[in-house]
Amino acid sequence: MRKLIFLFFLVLTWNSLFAYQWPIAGGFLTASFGENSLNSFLKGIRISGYGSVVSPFLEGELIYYSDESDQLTSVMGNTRVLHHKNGFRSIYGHLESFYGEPDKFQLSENDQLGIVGNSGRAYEKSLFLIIYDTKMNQYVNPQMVLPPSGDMNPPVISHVYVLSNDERTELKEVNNLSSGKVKILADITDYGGSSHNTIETVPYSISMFYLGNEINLIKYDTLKEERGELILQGGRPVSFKNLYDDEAFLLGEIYLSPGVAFLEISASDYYGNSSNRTIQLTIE
Amino acid sequence: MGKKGFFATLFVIILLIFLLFPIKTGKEILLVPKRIVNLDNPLQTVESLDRGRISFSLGDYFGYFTEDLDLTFLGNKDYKVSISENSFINYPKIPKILDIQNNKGQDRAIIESTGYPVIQGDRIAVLSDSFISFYDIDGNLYWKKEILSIITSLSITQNHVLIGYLDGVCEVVSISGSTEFIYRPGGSRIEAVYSAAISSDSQYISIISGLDPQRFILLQNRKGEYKSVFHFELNHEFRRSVNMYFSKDDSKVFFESTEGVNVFDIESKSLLRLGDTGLLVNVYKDEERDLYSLLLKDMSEGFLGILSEQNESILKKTFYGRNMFFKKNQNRYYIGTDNLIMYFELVKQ
Repeated sequence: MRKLIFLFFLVLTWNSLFAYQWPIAGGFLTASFGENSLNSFLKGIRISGYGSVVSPFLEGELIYYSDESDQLTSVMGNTRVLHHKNGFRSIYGHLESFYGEPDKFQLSENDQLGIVGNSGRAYEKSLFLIIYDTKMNQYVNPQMVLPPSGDMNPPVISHVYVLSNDERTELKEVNNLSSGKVKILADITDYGGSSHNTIETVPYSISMFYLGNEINLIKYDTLKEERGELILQGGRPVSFKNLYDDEAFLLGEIYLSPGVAFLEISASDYYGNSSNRTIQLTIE
Repeated sequence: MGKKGFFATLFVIILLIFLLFPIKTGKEILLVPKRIVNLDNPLQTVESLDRGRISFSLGDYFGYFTEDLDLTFLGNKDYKVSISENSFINYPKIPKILDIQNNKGQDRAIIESTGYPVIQGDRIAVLSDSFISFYDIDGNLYWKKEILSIITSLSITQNHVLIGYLDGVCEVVSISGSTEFIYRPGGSRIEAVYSAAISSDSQYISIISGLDPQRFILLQNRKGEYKSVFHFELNHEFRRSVNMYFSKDDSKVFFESTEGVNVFDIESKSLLRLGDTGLLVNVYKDEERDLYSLLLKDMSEGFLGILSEQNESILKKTFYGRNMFFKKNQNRYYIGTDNLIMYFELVKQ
């Protein structure tokens, strides 16, 4: 009897942990939430899965569909939107063409929403998935709610720069710098939550410490509108223009005082894999 | 007879039938066929004769013709085209720039954008993944805004843009880029805007909003502020963007019903439902005769109807094709089906 009860609670826990499912089976991430997409935050994720069937990430009600042939053509192409009981809305873009009107509106995780396509502004066949929380009025990072995909590789902190008077200088492990106010930038990449692809995505979190103090903490949890623009939330709230400088991350501004100091940068992915880099600064 | 000869003979036979057997429309009204143009094999385009240019977008083709159906410009779509009476943008699936051309196909200006354009009169809105931008017809930027939800509808006048969002909000943005009005209709289990239209004088806004129930809402600008003046629940719920626009004189709102078209009269606050089957392609109100002319279509057929205000059919004619357009200028009717454009004249007998 005890075994049965244990099994019951195990199943219950398992189900509540993984209530959501990836909308396509066997796909891999090609773009991640919040990354730089044509000079703005990407509001969802892109999943490759040539010709795969797309299913709801959670059971829900079909509340909107648009077709590439509509008068108002969206760059997202053929799109379907579900409303879920928990207040989430999930948006599935770039699907293959639909023929005719949908035959039912209440959809379970086993139902077919469409086929992965390249309708709209898409180079190749991939699914664009957006999750919007209508209760909190914010975009939710789908990777925060979807089951883990088994990534074992930590993000890579490839370059760190100091920006002073519009001049960018790459930092080595030990550096001699002049005192004054500078900005710190870094090139940091993750590899899409999959060990067998080389598509660069952004990590889940990035932090920077200087003289033992946390200067910045960036987390890709949600995007929320503030005063007409989207702000990345989770760590310290940050707008697009204050986070990205070309392809690099703008990690913050520090004041270099004479002496020896250490700059520490760390980045981690969604599954706890992390990288750290410590840089010694000798300031004259 | 070769394949080309067969199609040429077929075309001549269709042309003869078309010209010899005009469509009877009852005792008083007759729709007389005047001309037909095959876009796969047009004779030639003519120079502008300044007899008015009518734009069309039909299947893979787009262009302009005069009121006598002389083609003045014929083009093939790259991916899609956005076209007005004076200008067009023929754009690829993945644009990097948008090339604005006049109705003779001459370059007018370039917009550097990765989005898809919507031309209305001499204004252009461009929608990309994350931004909406507003330009004049010469490509000068008025404003650019970040899109915070999915845009389900867009209505453009000379000085305003009305945007309907999937999150249930409507926003009126002025030519300077300032938000003049934000409205959330609410009142439904599911909040979403399925259509929004603004009258040419920006005096009225009509909205189709929500699920369970889905409602039609009319707002009027009173002393610089839009107020809800009328609303009612629709007996059918659309879950896609609904085709809705104001009549030329802004006295009526036309919007799709599941079968036919709804006509809402602003002054009397009354609703007419016209037609019986198919989705709305276009509708016109003939003020002189109190008649409505509308084209409705399903997958492969179109139904031209001329109807009285009591929904009595004066004329009904079926056309065949997957792609259709319908334009009307006084008593001249232009109907496009796939690769053909037909010109009829409405005459009283």
